[in-house]
Amino acid sequence: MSSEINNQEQLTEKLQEYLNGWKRAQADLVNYKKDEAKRVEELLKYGQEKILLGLLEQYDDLERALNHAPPDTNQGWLKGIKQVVKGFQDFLKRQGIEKIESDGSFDPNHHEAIHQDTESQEEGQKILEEYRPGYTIHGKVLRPARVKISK
Amino acid sequence: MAKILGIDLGTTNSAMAIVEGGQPRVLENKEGMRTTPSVVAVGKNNERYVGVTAKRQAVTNPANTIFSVKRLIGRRFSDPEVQRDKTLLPYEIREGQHGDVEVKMGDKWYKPAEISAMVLQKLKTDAEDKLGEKITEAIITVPAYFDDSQRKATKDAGEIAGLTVKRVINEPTAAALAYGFNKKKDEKIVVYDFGGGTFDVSVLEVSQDTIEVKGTGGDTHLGGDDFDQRIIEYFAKEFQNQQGIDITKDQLAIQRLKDAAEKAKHELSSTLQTEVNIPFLTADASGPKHFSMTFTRAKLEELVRSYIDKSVELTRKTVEDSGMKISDINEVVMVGGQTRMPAIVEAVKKLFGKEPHKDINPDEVVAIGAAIQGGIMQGDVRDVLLLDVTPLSLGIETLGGVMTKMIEKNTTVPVARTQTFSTAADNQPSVEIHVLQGERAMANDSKTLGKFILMGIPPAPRGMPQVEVTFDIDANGILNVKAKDKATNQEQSIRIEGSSGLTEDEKKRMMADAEKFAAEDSKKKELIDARNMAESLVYMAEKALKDAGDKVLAEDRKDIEDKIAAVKATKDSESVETIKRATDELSAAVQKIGQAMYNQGNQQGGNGSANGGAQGEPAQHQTAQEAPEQPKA
Repeated sequence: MSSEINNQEQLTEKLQEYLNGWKRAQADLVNYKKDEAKRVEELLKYGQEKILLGLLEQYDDLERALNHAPPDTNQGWLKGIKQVVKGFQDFLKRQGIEKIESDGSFDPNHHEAIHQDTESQEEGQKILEEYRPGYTIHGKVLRPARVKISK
Repeated sequence: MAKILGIDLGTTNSAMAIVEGGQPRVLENKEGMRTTPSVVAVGKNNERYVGVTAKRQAVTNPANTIFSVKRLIGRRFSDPEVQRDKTLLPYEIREGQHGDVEVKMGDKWYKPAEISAMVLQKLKTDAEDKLGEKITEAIITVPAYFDDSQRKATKDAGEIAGLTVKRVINEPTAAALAYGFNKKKDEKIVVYDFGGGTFDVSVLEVSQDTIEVKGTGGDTHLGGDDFDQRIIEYFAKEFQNQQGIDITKDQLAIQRLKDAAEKAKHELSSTLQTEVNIPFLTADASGPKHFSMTFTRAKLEELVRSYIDKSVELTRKTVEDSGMKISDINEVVMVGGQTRMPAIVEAVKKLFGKEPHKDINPDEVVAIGAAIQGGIMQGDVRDVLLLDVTPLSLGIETLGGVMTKMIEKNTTVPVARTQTFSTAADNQPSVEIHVLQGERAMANDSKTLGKFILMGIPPAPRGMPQVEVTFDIDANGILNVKAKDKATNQEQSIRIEGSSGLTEDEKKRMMADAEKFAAEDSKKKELIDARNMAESLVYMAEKALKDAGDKVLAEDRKDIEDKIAAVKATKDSESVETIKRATDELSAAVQKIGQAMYNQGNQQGGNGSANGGAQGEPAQHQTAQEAPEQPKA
């Protein structure tokens, strides 16, 4: 008789356990869906980062080329190239991409120090030179600026 | 019940994961990255940096940027490891009061555990932000060769960070857990962990309830970073050969070479060669100098061959030292980003004579295993809840001999899926449900699991009846297929057991076939879809013409009839373009019927074209009219 009762208790316990497990699984699914909606939103906002980062690398080279324009270049042609670069800049702006300021003091949240010039007279970790510009996208750091800083 | 955070506290990088809905998930940090550098620093203004920000200022502040502290944690100052690293690390290290190690950061001395605690603290905070709930418990992983003192120090680091460390588990064990190998009783597993800075080999044995570490080996100063270094040196040498300039002292140029080297290394894991393209690398009196070259996988492998060979030797030695033979090993698991390199996978495969496991992201597999351990302890991950997937797609045969999938392969079960189908001919009295399994596009190339017929469908024009077909796989893997006529509620069903009753080899063959014939199958399917659509459109056009009667102008009627004939003529054509062209022309012509009806401002016309509308766009609106079926009975 008592083993029957025991059995019944055990079964009831198992039943409760399974029902609770089921409820938890349902709840997890519902919550996951809610989170997923948020994740998709994030993804849409920042999902193009990988592509944009790749694009920025090529754009870096374009700017480098422009900075090295020989003095005797055909001015008309040079003007055209500058316009192309401006077109790029405008495109980046439309994606919410902004250049990071590289004057003033070094801030590891926005800058990556490649080199420290110990000879320079400046103090206070001032940025001496920008090696590669950094960018934010919708306020978030897309890539830090690469800089040379003082002591 | 709060989640237990699984943490891979690495020498160079750390990662974290939790279990959600029975599945492990890696959590991104505040910066949106799935790994966090294990670096802590104190700046000039006493501001503390942890993670990627600490790394960014490392060059300016080497004495106060603490990295690789894992090499020191829990060790005695007199340990040869510590003495060796002391000469390599740019920050100050001294002996602590109890013979332990202390590091200087800013103007204070810290125990390594305190530094690691700062990294853990950041992970904890970022996880809490991501999940919107507090995290108080964690599982932290350590190398299998860590002794009691190192394990305790790691646990202390967790506690300092405000985490109750439920368990400290071995990294290779975590990796094995991630693959579910804790189920493989009596099996021997080798975990080959080639990370950024260290190479670790472990030999594990799975016994009744535990995974035991039988042996460890490796090289604590061999990693992917060494591979990068070789590539950078090679690029610099090539540039010197090309341009006669030595750029090894140029910080910026080296940085660009480093970027290019890493990128090239990654690309060569999936291509045989890559273009290295660095314009304006430097300049001299004669103008700007550029670097470009073709870098092949073969060359990369040549550059790092000695490292790979060394790792193989160390692996062999570790297995032997564990008292086993290479042939005793049942499974090999890959951990660490560098294991993505095909040459390494090949070398490991050659050594053990079997394919190593690398499906789980090698940068994340340890964190995932730690999370799973946490899940097991919380009851989130229980044997009784382990779910299967259906290995192959399931579906039915539809018009034209096409295999229409109802349940995609790799769908987690139990699961039920329902789709509504219709008849292919007017007054069709029954439908045959031909249950199929496989990945091919045609029913002929799929495996028949069963057949049954649903009868008693009341007479109706083709495409009107609604037959709801449900595929239901229960928790025991039994497939129930049911067909119900929505008009009469008549049902018929069939029960198929062991629907995954194929052997591993058969499954593999079927999937390989599917890939091999993918292009061909897709063309066949396209042709059949085009034909079906043409047939549907003809039927609809004829019906619409009939219904419209003399509301359609005679010349329009003639035009439509001609176009109908044209489509009918393409019946046996093998060219999808031909069929589609004729269909499109008919479709455009048929619009005139709708216009005619509309112009008459007639209700009937409204109904007719509504129906016609639904059928006239079969490709876009696969509602109740999806792939009608041939009567086979």
